[in-house]
Amino acid sequence: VLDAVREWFADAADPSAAPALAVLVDGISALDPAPAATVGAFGARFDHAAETLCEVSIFGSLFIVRVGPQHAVEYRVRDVATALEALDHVVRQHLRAAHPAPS
Amino acid sequence: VVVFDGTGDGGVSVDGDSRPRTPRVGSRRLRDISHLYLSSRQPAAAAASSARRTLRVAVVGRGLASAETVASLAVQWARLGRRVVVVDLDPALPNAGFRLGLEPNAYLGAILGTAPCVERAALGVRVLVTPQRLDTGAELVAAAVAQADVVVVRLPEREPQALLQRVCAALASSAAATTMERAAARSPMFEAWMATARRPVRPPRPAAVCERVEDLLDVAVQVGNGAPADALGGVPLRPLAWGAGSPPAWARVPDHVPPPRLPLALLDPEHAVARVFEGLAQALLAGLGRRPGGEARA
Repeated sequence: VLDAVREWFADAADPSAAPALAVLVDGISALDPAPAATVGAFGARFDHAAETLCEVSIFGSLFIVRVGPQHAVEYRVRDVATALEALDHVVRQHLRAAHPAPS
Repeated sequence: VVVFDGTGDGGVSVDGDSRPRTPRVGSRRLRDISHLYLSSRQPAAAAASSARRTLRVAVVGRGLASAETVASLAVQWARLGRRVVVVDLDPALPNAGFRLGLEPNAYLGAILGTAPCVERAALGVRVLVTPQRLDTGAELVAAAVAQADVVVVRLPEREPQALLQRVCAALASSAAATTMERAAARSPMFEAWMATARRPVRPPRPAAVCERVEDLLDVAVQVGNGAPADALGGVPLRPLAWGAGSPPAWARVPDHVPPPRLPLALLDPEHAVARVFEGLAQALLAGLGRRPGGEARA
């Protein structure tokens, strides 16, 4: 599924956004256990254990990463540095989703 | 000072005491036999500290449990005053650098394709960034490993030996190369003797050849409840169970909710999980991991 996401990213994104997008997708691909990926009209969504990790929407050279089940944090990514910040948040969110606190 | 004359009937005093003395029959103390392994030029303490022994531990596993184990053990060893180097060969996230508080551009070095470098993490633990690409920074990494007291290598469950071969040159550069040096690495007394017997200027040693994993690692800790990995040759493998309900193991980490970024061993040293890793770090340092029958109760 991640390969399909990569193809969709390659089609939808501007070439100037490719390095930052590659960092984000490579990082999400490296998560263990691997998240589920969905491509739709909204963009691409990555879920783990029925909880949304992040949602990515592409607007030419800009892409927006909304992290968390409520999309509470939004990263407007134009460069690799911001993509790293977004990926760091996604990794923390993945850890939280994989090891939920007992209610 | 007493000089024995060889007749067996006591000694002749040379320090003014004329009373006859009989030689001691019981067990001798360490200082009585220290001339057997120490030269007159160097005291025992200095000789022992000049030849450092490095503990090399592999942590085999997957996911957060593996990264958490590496980070927690590294923190506990750093608290004990050891210089720790972490070599993370598992490309999966979260990795050990993430758990030790590195910045994203450091712990994501493998994704960014940065050159190998050494980053200082929490409590001064040194983390090798991008150790998979040792072709461009082998000397730097070898220097960091050579100065460490403890080297922790994180390996994935699948084909750990193939990944280990990539860093074997760095790991083997300061490893014992001869039979005498291997014996010295296992015996403090022999090591002290080696420090005095070694020539002042050592001849340059040829590049180390990695033929046996046993020469690179002292012990491997397998994290998780999966089948035991058998690809590490003769390295002693210690299963570390994760959570309740897992089969009997060398040690067990209780169920807990991991903090989002740093390990519990760093944030809450009194937590039961931190106590487990404290005990494991001390046990591995003490050499329990090498003994076939060694058991660590957690």
